[in-house]
Amino acid sequence: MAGEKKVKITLNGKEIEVPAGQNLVDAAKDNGVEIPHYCYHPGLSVAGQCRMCLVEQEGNPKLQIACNMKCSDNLKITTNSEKVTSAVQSSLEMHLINHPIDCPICDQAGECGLQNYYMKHGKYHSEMREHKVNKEKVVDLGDHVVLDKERCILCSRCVRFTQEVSKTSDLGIFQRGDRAIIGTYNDESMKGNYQVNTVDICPVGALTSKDFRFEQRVWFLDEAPSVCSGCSQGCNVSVHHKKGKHIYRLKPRFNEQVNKWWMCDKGRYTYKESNYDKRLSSAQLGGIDLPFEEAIQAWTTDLKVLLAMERSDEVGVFVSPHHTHEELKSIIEVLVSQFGITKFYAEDIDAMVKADAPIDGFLYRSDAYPNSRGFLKVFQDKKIKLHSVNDLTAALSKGSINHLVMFIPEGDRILPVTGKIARAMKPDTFVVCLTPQKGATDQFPGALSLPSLSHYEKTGTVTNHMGLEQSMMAGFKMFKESHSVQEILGLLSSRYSDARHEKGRVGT
Amino acid sequence: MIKHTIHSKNMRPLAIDQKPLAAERRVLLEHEHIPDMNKIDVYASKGGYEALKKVLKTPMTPDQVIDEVKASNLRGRGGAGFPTGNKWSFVPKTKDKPHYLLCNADESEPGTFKDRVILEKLPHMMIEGMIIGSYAIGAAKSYVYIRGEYQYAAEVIHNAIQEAYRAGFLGKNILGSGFDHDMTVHRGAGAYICGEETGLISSLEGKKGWPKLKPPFPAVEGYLRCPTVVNNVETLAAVPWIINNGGAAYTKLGTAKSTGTKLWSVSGDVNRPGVYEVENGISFRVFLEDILGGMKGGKKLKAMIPGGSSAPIMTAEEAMKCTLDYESIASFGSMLGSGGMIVLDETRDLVQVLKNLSEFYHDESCGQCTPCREGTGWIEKILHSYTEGEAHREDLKLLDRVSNNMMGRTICVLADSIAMPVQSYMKKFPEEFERYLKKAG
Repeated sequence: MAGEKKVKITLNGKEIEVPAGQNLVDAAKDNGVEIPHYCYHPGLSVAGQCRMCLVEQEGNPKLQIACNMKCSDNLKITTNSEKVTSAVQSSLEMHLINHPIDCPICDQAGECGLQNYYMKHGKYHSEMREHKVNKEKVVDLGDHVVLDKERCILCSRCVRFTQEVSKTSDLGIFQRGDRAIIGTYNDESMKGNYQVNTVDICPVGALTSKDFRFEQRVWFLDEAPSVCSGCSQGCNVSVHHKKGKHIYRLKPRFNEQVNKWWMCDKGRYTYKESNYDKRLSSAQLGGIDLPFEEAIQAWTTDLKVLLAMERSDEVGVFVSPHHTHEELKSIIEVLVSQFGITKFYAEDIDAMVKADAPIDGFLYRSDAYPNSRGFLKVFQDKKIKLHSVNDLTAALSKGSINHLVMFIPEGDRILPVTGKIARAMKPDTFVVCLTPQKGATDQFPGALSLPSLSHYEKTGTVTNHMGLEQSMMAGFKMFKESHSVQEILGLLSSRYSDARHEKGRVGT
Repeated sequence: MIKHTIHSKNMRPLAIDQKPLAAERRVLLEHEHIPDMNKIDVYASKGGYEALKKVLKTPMTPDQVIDEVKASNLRGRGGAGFPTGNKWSFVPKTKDKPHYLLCNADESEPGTFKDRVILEKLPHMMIEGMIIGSYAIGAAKSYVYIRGEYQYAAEVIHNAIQEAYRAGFLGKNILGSGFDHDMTVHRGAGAYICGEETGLISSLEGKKGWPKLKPPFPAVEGYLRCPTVVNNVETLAAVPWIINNGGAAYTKLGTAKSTGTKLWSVSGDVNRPGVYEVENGISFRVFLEDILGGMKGGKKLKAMIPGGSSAPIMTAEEAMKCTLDYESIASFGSMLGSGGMIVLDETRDLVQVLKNLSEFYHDESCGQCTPCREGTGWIEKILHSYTEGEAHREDLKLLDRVSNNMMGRTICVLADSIAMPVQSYMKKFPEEFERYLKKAG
């Protein structure tokens, strides 16, 4: 950061410049030197318990823990001496002597701190010939988390998280010595909306997520950077999917300004709305599958008739802030600039933005859309008035809207609104649903439905509650037949031009 | 209020011979044999609270008090032997946060029971030392953290504190000096680790007794993250004498580097186990023969553990050569520690002794740092199988490697407290371990 005081430290004989007071583990990492650690986490207080980050400090005969050292001028540190490497190996050995080493049935395998460090710093033959300490396994900690006390290395990260971050203080360490265990007071369930973060920060397979448990081997998963769709906070996430066909989990992605290392449990499960089983997989007309091309053709035809008769004011468009800037831009380009459609309807997003506030005092906010600020701005900039849902239902029942374009995002949350619109509609209204979700099309049985991309497949930009524009770069597709809003509208636009051109040619 | 329970009846006050032996040098214990010395009037009749009056009425400045203690070269009697005056001088002079003095009366090192005499018989000497120490470091509040099993002693201290309040030595404006001070007894719940300076602080804060990372050191950030000094009972009890007689007079006792006297609690195979105060520098031979009455049953000395169970063991030969002071004992690779001496005769099986110790340290490891949490258990298991007829030579190498890997690698020194005995027993008594190998074939 600009203006930050820098100090010079010597790391493995190389002089480097780092921010004054930076934690040595982080400073080394920023300069390409990995200091192994389990208990240290940059988002939590320093515990200094795992003793993995032992380093040699010039002038100090005893090995010191790097996690409790702040960078200051003339600090001279060695991390690669024989003394350090054997100490690290010994600390690792101590972590493993009572660990069950049940990697074949452990969800953490593949992303486990014990496995990773064993391959880097271990590779010794175990000399533990005695019986391991046995502890309780499959301990239910509530709705989201399962604990295996044998796998636990007692790094206390989860305990510190519940004390310092979620402020729920659910977890504690009971007993002492090698009988020590993680647990909750009176075996109560964990509380709050941030429980699964403890699974993320658990360096081993002690805390596992009920949702992800036994679902997938992590080495089969790809990661795609995205932004959570759950609320206006816009927590940065990684979408963990298998070949783009199945999303298995979301994990928070570090962003200093927005969510740091964390995300809420509600947001974490929003991927389920995007997943394959909730999805419209093919274009449909009246609930019957039809090729995508034909669907576009059918839409073009109806639109063409209306526009040819200069009845563009009979076209209504329902939109929501679930869309990215890019999607909204293409909606405006095609539907407004090209077709002259002006009647846009949406929920009262303005009111949602005004009332937007944190719900649980941390990340989760009351505005349930990821792009409300961006959405309002796009329409304000283009001076397009957004009408209310009541206006739409009134227009539909009066029959003044005869061609309705519904942009329906994934998730159950929107269904009461779209249901209300569906009920107000006259049977002969032509409805086009651009939606990723199967559930929405059920409300419009006669509609022409075009499968669009779900939030976690999208590439694009959303603006969070603090006005921060954030990029989503997922870029995978679960269904061949689904397309981005831009692609669908692009197709519509070109098909429409072709059709008009053909008509002109026929006419002359 | 401390309630009487059945335990207090079982824990009778420690008895000490009324007449000092020739080789003893009773400084702290000078009036110990006088009945009701735990009553304030009796204590005052023997010059009690004169030191406090000297400090507050002269008045001495806090720095003068610290200088006097520095001049005495009094070293912490809890085990580490850190110079007390220096410790006090590390406390910041600023008053933006309250300062605290904590008296470590947890006395939980196996073999150590010397503080118990002061706690039960001379509570006011310790309390007077605490008030003076608190004045020196600017603490308005002090606590006596006493081990849970010392129920009788806790009652004595509690009553003595009440007496001191009534006499105007505690409370507001003590002796008209403007210095306010409050004192409370806090009973531990029976964990060895709560006798460790920062474990004690955690426990007193109402948390699990987990030692804290240093830095920050307690003098800067201790109890409730405020500047804190933790002193042992015996250390604080020596303060009134030093104030009354001067630091220089204290240095006339003992040796140059180990000034003053030391209380030793002796257990094991001697004729007169108990608590004795001697001048530092007395030879172990004289101590054993003249004070402890020699070896029990006329058996031969095999080994001596000088400073509580965690101190490295000394052979009979080393013991007979050493004098009881910090430097001499250190020169034989051990430490004076708390002065909890364990004497072992020729019939003792040191591997069994070590196994017994390993059980204790395994049980008492707080579980915070991995090398200690896992290593203490591992050592116990290895020693267990070693003594149960499955002894292998590799076990010895493993014991050496594991204990070596535990030393100096943890937040506190509990890991060292078993690692050091393992290393020293193996090094100094290899034949004891060989015997098991032969037995196992």
